[in-house]
Amino acid sequence: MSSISYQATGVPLELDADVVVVGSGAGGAAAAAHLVSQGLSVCVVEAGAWRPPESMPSDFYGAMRDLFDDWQSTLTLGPALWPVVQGRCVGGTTVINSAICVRTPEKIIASWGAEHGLDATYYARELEQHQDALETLLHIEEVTPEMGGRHNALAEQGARALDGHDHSMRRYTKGCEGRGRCMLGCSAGRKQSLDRAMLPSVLSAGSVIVDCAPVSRILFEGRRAVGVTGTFTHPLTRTKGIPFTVRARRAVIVAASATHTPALLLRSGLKGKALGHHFRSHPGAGVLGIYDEPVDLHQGATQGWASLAFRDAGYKLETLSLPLQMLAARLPGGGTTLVRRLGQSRHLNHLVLGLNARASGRVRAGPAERPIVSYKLGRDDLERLREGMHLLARIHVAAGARQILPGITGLPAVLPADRIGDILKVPLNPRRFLCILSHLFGGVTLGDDPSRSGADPHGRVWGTEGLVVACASAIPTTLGVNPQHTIMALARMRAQEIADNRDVRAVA
Amino acid sequence: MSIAPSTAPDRRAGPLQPDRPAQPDPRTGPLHGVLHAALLALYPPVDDLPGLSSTRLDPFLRKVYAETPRTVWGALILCALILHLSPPLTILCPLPMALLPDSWRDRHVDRFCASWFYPFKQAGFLLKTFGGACWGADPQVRARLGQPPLEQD
Repeated sequence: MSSISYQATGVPLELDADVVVVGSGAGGAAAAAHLVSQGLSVCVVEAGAWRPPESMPSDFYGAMRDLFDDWQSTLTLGPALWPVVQGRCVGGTTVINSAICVRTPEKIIASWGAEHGLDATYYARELEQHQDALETLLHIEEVTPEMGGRHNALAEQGARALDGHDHSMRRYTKGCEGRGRCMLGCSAGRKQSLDRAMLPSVLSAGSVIVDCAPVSRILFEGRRAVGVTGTFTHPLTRTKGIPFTVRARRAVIVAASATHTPALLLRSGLKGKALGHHFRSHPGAGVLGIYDEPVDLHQGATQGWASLAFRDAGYKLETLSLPLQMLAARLPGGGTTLVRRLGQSRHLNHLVLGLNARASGRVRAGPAERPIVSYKLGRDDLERLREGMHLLARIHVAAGARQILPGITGLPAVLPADRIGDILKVPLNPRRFLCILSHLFGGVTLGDDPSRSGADPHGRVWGTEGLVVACASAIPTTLGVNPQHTIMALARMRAQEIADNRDVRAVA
Repeated sequence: MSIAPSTAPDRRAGPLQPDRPAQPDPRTGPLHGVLHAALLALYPPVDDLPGLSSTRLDPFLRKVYAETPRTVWGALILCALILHLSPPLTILCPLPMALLPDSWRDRHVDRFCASWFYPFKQAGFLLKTFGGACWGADPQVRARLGQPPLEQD
């Protein structure tokens, strides 16, 4: 068992392994765990720190500091500045998400075949096999009413009234206590985030995890990726430590997220035509409802109810409990108006939608090894966003809310139940909406055409040898559902291909 | 797998966290007072609900200064300065926020945060995020709102 953390002084650290995996989130951890199960040695290199459950931050501020990427300060560049939310710690975003398990929709796999030249039959078969295996490996739990709490029950009740309830949420949890703090890291250790559920198997197989180690470049010999290099960085003080180099005998897997993977490839001198392009997401927006009886968002699973009933309309609906500290920022107004609204916090419920947006953005390599994300929703996306927010307001009203806080500039901060139709009259200007980007895709998309994709259908980066992408950056479309299950299964497919010693060249 | 013998000590005791300072940095960040006043205006006491003035705002801001990247601290100060200087645009009063009577100041911060002017709205959001992180962690506030106390950070 070997884990190497921040090294302040000493001679540069040098390691080697069969496969180097950059990133330890859904893609990196799943790939690494699968590779060691196939007998290969792996070195996982993670930019963030390792935080075991007992030392998870206690509050939102601590989570921004210890778990979120760059204090959640990456914003989309475009008409609206929306935060790009992802994790930066061992386990990646799986530490701060709600561990929602949804299989890859068949329609989406078919579209990968029709539009991007992937072998849809191969992908459907392999994804199914790996998702079966993952569901056995990670404990899947359906949210029960006791676990869900009042806020999830109200959402289900409202959606049922509108024929919008279609299933109970399934999550990778084991005995969830319903403390509503998934976003802050599960200090009870119930969530099966991959720092708990997969990476220990990597260590026990004798492989290495290096944390606090942001990779600055991929090393090449000719076209062949032979390792990675960077400098240890203290996650709190950002003090630079010693340099490190990790060499790969067989392959380098990059699984650093849809923003950091393309940025790293670009920083490393790769110049593919489509590299950094086709960045997509599910922008999320929320609507609050004020109820007569206490809802107590802090009691019950963070996200215990979801509906895919409106997926064809372009959005997925979910509950999302917000810690009091985050609620303060989300509520409209300031001064006494804000504090008075916060005084009603026990009576607030929060519903969100994930928009299956058609918009496509771009990731560039920015200064200080940070990605720059350009992203702009089109009119069609904004129309569906507005419709979805109206639907959320209707669900609140059907569940008994007497007032709605739509969070849209230009509308009254508080709408009575009989005026929620005003949401549909809001002009389609992205600056009026408060969204976050949490499900991210693309940047190094899979495809059969090097001019339109960053990697070939097996994740091998065009123009290189031994360099494979295995995170959300490879997914060529949005999914319309939570992506963790798909990312993990794709990463296992890539790991299996490397373990089978298949050709890792993708020279275009 | 091999580790070059000349490397720094391999810490094999299992998953590790980097060492962290036991106490927040005691230094006060530049223009600390400007940010402090802006946050107090955003979260005043209302009825029996404590405002930010009853919380440990100063140590919190010192911690923010010590722990955030300079870009985040700089953005906070910039947003606070905009809030201080914008009453002419929100309530049409040619005075900085510090010189406004309480009721006018309150009207100004509310209009600032709900403004149609996107930079004001975004600045208000950032200030509310950090102010809320301090206010929402306060044991008195949490007790008043039926929330369990937070464990020590």
